[in-house]
Amino acid sequence: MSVSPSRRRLLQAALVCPVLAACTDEPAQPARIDPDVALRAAAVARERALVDAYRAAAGSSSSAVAARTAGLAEEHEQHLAALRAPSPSASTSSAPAAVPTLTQLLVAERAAAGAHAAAAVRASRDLATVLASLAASEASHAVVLT
Amino acid sequence: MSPADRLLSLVEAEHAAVYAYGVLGARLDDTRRRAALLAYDSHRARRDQVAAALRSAGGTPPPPLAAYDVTVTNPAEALTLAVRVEEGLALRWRDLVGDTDDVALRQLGIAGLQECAVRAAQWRRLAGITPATVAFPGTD
Repeated sequence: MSVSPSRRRLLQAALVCPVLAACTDEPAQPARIDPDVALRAAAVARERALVDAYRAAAGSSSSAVAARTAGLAEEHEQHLAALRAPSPSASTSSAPAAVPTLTQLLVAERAAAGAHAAAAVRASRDLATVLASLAASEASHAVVLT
Repeated sequence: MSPADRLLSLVEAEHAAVYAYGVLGARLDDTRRRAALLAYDSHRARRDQVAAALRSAGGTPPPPLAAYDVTVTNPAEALTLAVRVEEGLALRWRDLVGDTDDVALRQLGIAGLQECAVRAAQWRRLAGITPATVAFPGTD
């Protein structure tokens, strides 16, 4: 006996609905969502923003700024690699970013250090050690920027 | 390793750091000696904090050794030792982070790691070591 299209849809709906219901009506099952996914994605976003800021700083007319920031940019690229994320490609930057000052970079580093540290408290042990190290690295960048 | 074992190892390492800064500070000029004194105070404070955490976990903080094998004869050696002390402690703080799910211990470990990374960078800079920073503090 063949299953009519309408009945097939009904069967499919019956199969899909419990899953949807679990997602929408029962937030009491957060254990199924790995918190590391969101924490890692947020950390990647922070590192990409810093890489972009340092790339903009590399265009600074001040050779002192460019010299001080070159090594730090490289460390942020390494952070992205540790988070298993590729570096932002230079070509995706649509508009030329304003060249940040050392103070602006310092503020950005401190904010990232705090955010990485807060994320490290909530992450799994493996991700926590990575985020803690990144938090420490960003904090230490202040030494070079001041 | 259990968090309590990590804390015990940290108390021992902070004892050694306090001793090392007492020795190396004497070999530095006034400006750098002030930095060494700040580091000395900071390590004492962290040691006491870790000892308290260890007691809360049911452990007994070990006393400092009578002496540590520390030889510093000039400012360059003093700066090198200061960098080594901070790098060594950074490893232990990071290990604590990775071996506990306790929020307070995590926060303690992260704060300790950040402090060591900042001081290590300061000492590298004063020692003329380039780059002054590392990408992953607390790793070899």
